[in-house]
Amino acid sequence: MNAHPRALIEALERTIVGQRDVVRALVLAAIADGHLLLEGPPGLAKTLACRALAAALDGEFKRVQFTPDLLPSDIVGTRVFDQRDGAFATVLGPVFANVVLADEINRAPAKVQSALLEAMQERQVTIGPQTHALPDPFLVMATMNPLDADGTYALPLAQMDRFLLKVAVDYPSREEEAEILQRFAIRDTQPLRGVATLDDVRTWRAAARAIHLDEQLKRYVVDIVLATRHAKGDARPYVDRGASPRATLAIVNLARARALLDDRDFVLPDDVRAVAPDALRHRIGFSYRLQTDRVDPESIVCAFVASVPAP
Amino acid sequence: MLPRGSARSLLAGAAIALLSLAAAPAAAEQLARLNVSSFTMQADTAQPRLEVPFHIIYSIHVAQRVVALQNMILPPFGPLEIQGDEQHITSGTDGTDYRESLTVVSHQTGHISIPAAWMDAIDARDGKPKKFLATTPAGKDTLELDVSGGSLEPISIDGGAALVRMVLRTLSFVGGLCVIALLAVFVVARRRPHVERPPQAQGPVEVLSEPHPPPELTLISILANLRSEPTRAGSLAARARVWDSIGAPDGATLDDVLERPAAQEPRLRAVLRAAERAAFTHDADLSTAIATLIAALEAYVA
Repeated sequence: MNAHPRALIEALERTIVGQRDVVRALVLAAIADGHLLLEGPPGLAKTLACRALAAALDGEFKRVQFTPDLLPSDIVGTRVFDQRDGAFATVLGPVFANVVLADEINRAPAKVQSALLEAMQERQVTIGPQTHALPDPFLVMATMNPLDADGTYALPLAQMDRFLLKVAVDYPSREEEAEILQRFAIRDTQPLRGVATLDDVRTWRAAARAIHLDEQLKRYVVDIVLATRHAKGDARPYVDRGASPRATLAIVNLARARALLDDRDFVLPDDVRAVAPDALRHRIGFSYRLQTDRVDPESIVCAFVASVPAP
Repeated sequence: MLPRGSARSLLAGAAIALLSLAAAPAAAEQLARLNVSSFTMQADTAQPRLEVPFHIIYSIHVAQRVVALQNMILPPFGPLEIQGDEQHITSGTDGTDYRESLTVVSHQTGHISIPAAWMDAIDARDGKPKKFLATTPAGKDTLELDVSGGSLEPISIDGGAALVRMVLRTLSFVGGLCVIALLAVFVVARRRPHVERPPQAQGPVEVLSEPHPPPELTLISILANLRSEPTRAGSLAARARVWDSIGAPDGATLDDVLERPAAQEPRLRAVLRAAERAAFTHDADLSTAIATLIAALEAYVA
């Protein structure tokens, strides 16, 4: 019998205090077969969440700290000359894992980012003459620190588009902070292992793809994405480019994943409205005026979603 | 001649109204994402004395560390004259504390009710824009004050001419205020075109309204229609009528509707969930979903 994806959420929540949005986003990304971008200050259990997910799925976890001197081969792997055999041998990089944490992805230059993002998109890597398929499931969780922008390489919109969803990670509440102290001061909490299997994830993905999406909801999703491309009113000066068709697909996939989590085989308008901000916030090209006028981009994204009446 | 305090109160009231007008459209576009733990209002005395300044204090605690709290709107203070306004904001590991202390004075005795101040923000707990209302320590949304210690300052009227002068001055003063207010509204409207407020923002305000469950006759009529037309179109029409019957606005989702005071009755909630399922489920499940909706309606009507 397959495990239920909610069991995965419960297992992650037993390891991670608070950060419910991150936990839920990780599981939604796993079900919807996409990658996750997290933006938040350091020390907010991003690595732990990723490690806990890999452990709960009995999958392989790799972490890459992105730095300015990182090379593409440090990510995908390289060929080295073996003097004993007198031939080249392929050494696979850390991208060959089920759950990969790309920590501070914006600290590495564009060519390294491209190498990872290409692997994310193609699900395969070519090293020398050989093409290697990445493991399945393959989930990349990339983090960006919004505080230290010096010496970073901002991800272009086209590359941000490769992430299924983006979640803003915030500091825990007072109660959660106390709970963290309680839980981690006594012992080092080990993530729960074997809550579900990699096969379970593949089953969930197949089940999510079969979830019914009504025609009205398809129009609703399209209208939301179109609203970002034809910004009106006060939002107009703050938006340079709207979301791409990938956003439409992302909203649908995430809405189906949310319906699966809720034991439904059909999507509701609430599913679409709940996941749309996560799928849109990194796909909208905001203008410089957003910063000069100190406008919160989240309010613009929320306004886009709210501007389209649900069916 | 006008009482000394009345003119200043009018000025203060107009200034607050103008500030509110300027702030309202901004709230729709610049909402901060906040965990508002507390938002209180209190006076440093429940029984202020006539012509004796006292303080009305607003305190907000949010879990986030912020440098400023925007979109906080003060209410009109009625007959109270504002003499000073001090704001303090401190951030620490447990979030941010904001304290605004208004020095006010009353020029008349009697009972004064001051409505709640409010702050527009995105609730970080559920990501929805909300209107957070200040409450008193007793949990009320109006601040009740009883001003004592004297009578109204007598108006000095020196014959008919003085009365006419007073009326003319008052009219010209009010007229001037109206012109200033109109100009301000015009400038604000030109500079900041209206942004459609997200419908979720209406949620907390609607909660304050009186619940009114749907009339039984309406549901009987919906039930009859659904029995005669057990199709997708029929279930969509039934859903729309059930939504209407509890006063849900266009574009409201099931979560919005379930939050309404009129939808707290368990059997009605079952009707709402069944209507949503019948509207959006796949064709193979449609007949079962419609049967569930009919059963839920019957149970509610019974």
